[in-house]
Amino acid sequence: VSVTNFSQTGANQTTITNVLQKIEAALPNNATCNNWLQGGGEDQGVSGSQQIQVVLQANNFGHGTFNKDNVVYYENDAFSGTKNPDQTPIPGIPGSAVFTVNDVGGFFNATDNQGNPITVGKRKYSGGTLRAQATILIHETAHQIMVSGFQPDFSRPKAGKANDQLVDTNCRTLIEGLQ
Amino acid sequence: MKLISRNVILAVVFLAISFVTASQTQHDSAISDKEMKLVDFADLEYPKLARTALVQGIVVIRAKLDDKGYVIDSTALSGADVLIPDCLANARKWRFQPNAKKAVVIVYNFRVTDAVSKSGCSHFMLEAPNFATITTCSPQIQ
Repeated sequence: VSVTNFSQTGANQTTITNVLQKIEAALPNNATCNNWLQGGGEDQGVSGSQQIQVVLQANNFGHGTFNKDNVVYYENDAFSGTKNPDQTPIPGIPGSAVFTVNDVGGFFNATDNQGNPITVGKRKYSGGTLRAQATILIHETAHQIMVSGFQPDFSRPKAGKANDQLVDTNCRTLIEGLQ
Repeated sequence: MKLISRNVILAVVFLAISFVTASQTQHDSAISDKEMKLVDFADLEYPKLARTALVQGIVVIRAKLDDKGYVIDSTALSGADVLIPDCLANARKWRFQPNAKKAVVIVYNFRVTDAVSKSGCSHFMLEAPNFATITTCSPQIQ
């Protein structure tokens, strides 16, 4: 995968920041989600709240247009990490990008380039809504801190569905309570 | 009697000012590399939260030594908040040859690299006497 027009500023960056802030504020009041969103493995001890707080402070995230095999890639909403599976750096993003959101994916858009509706997560939230955005960012945070049971799912739809199920089971109340 | 009291007070004030100025000068003055002879140190892992949030940067620590060169106190002069606590704790495990200023500076350089390794991601390298580089691997896409 590669990214074009990567940016860490502008309206889209502000939208991502606002959603992260809402999740951070809501986590202490949602014990199930908060208790689940905790680091596992070698990240044990790192909480989702801490992760979001530090990522926000450092502005270590961004957005851009995803490409796969040199074609615009609409199917992926966001990813965490900076290296492709072959260990080469992902072209177009800085090494400090904890996660990157797709400008043409479901975080910002209700439809794809063909006009087809984009839905997000187990509950099929409409793309571009706060619920879809929160689902995406909680999913990415879970990757970053290696939440127990969360699997690498890039280009692995089955693992992606299992991860979506975990986000829904543990954080649906938080997601649907955001305003 | 009054004159004696006044002179005593003046002397005490003068001594106090001299002491404060001297210790301030000592605290602010540069510590030459020649004054820092490393005896022992401890490795430092990349702090977990800094690793997951890909926070990089340099932390500068000023450490106070006792008469035997053990670090007895450490303060951060600069650096990212998420990196500082581990550096402060790590510095207290170092030892230098005693020096006149009873102080040293330790510089920690945290870097996320694209390098890959089979021996794990976090590596600690020291350029004696006081420049430590701690690296971690950049994360794979998921």
